[in-house]
Amino acid sequence: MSALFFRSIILYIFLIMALRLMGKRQVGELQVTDFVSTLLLSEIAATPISDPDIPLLYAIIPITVILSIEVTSSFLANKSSWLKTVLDGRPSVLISHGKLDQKELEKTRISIEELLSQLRQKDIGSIDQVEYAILEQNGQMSVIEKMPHRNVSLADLNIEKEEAGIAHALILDGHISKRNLESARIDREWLEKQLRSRKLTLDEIFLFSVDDCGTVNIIRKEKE
Amino acid sequence: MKIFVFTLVIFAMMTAGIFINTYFLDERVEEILIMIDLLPSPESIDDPEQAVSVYDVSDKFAKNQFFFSITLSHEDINDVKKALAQLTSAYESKDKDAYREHVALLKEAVRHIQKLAETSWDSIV
Repeated sequence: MSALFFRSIILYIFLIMALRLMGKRQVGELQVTDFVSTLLLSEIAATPISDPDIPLLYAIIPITVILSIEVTSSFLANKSSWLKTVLDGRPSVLISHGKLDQKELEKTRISIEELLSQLRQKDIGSIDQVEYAILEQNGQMSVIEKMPHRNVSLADLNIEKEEAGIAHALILDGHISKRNLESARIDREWLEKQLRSRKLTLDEIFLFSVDDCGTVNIIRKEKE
Repeated sequence: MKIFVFTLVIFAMMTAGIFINTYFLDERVEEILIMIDLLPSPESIDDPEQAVSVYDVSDKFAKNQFFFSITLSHEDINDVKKALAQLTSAYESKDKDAYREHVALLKEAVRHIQKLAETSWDSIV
């Protein structure tokens, strides 16, 4: 029993390391090769956890081989567009310049009902509103609407507004994030001054963030 | 690039480890097979001057068992242990027919381990 316990821990840690080495692609939107390797990894790791007769190396070796193939193929695919096409395929343009490409639809084995369903999920009620619909390599559909149907932007209304950027979380659950201080280019003295001016201590803060315009947002910890 | 090189290094080390392990596994299994061949025949089971006894083979296997268990399925190792136990029992009870049979079974179980460790089309397919 204890062997199962330790095997689970060892393989879990090994899998985490393997996935970290493979990169964010494995966790985010999966390309074909990522999908295959992720599926294989889970199967390979599961068997020795549940069967103590199988040596750990029977999982570690295949995982290492798959990791090596995955990292090597993604590295080489970045250098060669031909290889990238072979491994991941190409995006399929289903609607181009507002015109539905029926042959491409047939090639990708997507029915018109599925296409309409995908469009509805993107809040598009009619195929007439679509300028481009592209089926990406990871199976997601990208849709570009025709100009009259696009949301109005500030640029369309000739309104100029300062960039708000992103909110930098400087204090998280009572701890100052040095990395975020550096990325926001804010020094610690400024932060401490802000806390003093609001009569707050670090322990009381759940979230302290500031965006690129200097707008501060504070969430205090709930009292127990 | 760093991760690519790191992965290649790990892969190369693992590959080298596999081949080294296969070589040593084969060597140790071969030693055990030679010892089995030197076991006394059923007719001379009582001979006090045996070059190799059943206990010698058991000890040899026991010494290498941890090494074998890292890379071989425990089922295959248990098959050898079972064959050894049955052979020892036949030897102690001086049952010549059982002794002959279990020597053959033991040899087969050990050869099976050797085949598993081999790199051949049979083992791959």
